[in-house]
Amino acid sequence: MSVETSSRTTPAQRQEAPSVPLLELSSVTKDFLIRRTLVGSMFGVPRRRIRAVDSVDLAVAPGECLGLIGESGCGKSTLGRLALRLLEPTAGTVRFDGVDLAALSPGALAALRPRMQIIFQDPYASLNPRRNVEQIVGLPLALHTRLPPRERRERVVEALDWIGLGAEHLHRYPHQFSGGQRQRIGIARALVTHPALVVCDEPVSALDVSIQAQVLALLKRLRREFGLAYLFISHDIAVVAHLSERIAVMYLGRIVESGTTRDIVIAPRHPYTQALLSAVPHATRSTRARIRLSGDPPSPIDPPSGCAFHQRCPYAVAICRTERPVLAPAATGHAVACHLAATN
Amino acid sequence: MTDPVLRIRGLHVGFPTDTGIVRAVDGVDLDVLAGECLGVVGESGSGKTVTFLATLGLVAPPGVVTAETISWKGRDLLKLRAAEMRAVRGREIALTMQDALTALNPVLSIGTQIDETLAAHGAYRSSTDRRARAVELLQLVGIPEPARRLRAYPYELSGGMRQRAMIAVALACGPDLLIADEPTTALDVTVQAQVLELLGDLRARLGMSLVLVTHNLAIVAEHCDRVAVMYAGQVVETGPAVRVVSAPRHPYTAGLVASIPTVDRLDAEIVPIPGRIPDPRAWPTGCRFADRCGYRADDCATPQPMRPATDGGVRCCLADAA
Repeated sequence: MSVETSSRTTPAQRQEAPSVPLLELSSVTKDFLIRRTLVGSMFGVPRRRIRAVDSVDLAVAPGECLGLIGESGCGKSTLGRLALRLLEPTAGTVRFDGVDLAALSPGALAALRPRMQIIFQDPYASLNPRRNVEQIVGLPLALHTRLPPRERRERVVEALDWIGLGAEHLHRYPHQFSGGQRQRIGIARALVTHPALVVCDEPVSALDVSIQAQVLALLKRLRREFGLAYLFISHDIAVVAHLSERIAVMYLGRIVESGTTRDIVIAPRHPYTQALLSAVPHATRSTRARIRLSGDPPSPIDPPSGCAFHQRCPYAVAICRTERPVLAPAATGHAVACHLAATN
Repeated sequence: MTDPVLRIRGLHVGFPTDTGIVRAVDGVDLDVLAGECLGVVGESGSGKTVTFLATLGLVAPPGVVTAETISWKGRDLLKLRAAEMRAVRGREIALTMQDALTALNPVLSIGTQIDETLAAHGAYRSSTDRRARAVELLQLVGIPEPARRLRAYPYELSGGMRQRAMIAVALACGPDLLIADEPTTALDVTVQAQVLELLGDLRARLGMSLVLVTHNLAIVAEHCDRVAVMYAGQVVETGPAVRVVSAPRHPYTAGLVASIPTVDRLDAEIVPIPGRIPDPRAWPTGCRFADRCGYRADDCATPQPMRPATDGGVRCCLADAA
């Protein structure tokens, strides 16, 4: 198996044809079954489904950062897990480097794992409190390579060096570190296998603004150094815009707008994107018109008819209540799923 | 200018540990004016939460609280007996905690928790009156179908609704000062905007003072009248919120501003402050920010007093007094 990754090639050096996306999701859908009550199961009540992700198309080029934004419960973390096949899609295909992940044997999929890694949101819950730093960061190497312990330790120390820790931290435990340092350890664990793609699932939302800035700068530097591709998931459009070339906006399981960061931030066309932008607090008083969303996103158990956003949309008209808008790409690649954006 | 309703001078809070005393709050002076919104900003470990826990007499032993004065509407809170303090806490000064899920009791309904607060302060004699007040409070904080939601348990509510419910509990007795400790840190930006707007709206309608404890200066710029920036157990800069954020005088404040991700200018880099807050068991004798500061000079090794200015103050020898 080609899991031996001791050669120090970085993904950037492994030239890929620019036309082939590193990660490609086509019409990916994920349903979860809801647990029935005991009485319900006795009487054969059919189990209800939640459609967490609904026919999503996404592509991430090698070395690119795609930002994925949306509120809690919109399905963005589920999508991140589908991209890494930590979850199996109900329908649709996920290709990594042109290979359909569903067609791979468990062994072949395991061989790909070192190249696709994930950084989690909660730096407290994502590190095993009973393992020291060497064990935590070395785990992917132990799983995916046959490196002897000494070389494994060298690789761990190298990864710690990238994130600003050193060999003196190898035998410390997570509780001895601050939140920001823990998140760095999670980053080292993701990068130790030299991945090509890293799914960053809200990596800075549990951190103070000052620590968040440090971790964002680190993620940016590491991406440049290693030519990493990121699928960067966050609810904060300002954080995403800082790192991404392109942004996709998700609402109730669907992509409602996608385009370059400039398109999305300067000229957002979907009212939901506009609302997300106006929710960002501004250090300098902004002249941007405020759109305040009322209420919470609707439940995916019982999604609204028509456009999923119509109940919260200040511009909704009759057609929005009955007909679901499709994601219509413009010539520039800026795509939007809104009846009203299509007409003007 | 109006007299402060809350006046804190020389507040120190220490926690003895095996390896030395953690001086979490180390000489804090703060004023909260009547009807204002004061932002208290700083990173984790700067002492902002402990300052207000101490104000409310909520620092448990072995924590040690000393202060020249903590004066609430002319009464020294340090000299109150436990029963007198209980009457102030909750009725006159209320506190909402950062994490609504842990602050609310998971096995009691929202209605019961509001009822408990009202009953504890003897505000309403009959349970029917208390129930009516609870419905009124949920309505006030914008929870739809308030009569039905009284029976809801915290786990049944979304993060934003839970935060609203906790604010309703805090407002139950009509406090004159609400201290909101990181009210939006665990929330989505859209819900954060809703909750902050609600707090500002309630302050105006109820005529109370509001202290907004946060680590995000952008929130302060949008929602507060004045701000106090805390670092390493001290206040390092105070002033009008908009001025402090747009023209910070302390290098630490400037660093916090540069850390905020913005969508106003896409080419603007986020510039993090290097390093970490020093060890609270052994604060540096000179400027506590010196080893992270890009402007460090020889004078920084000497203790830095607060330098008053016309619109606030700054604890930095390099800041030109305005």
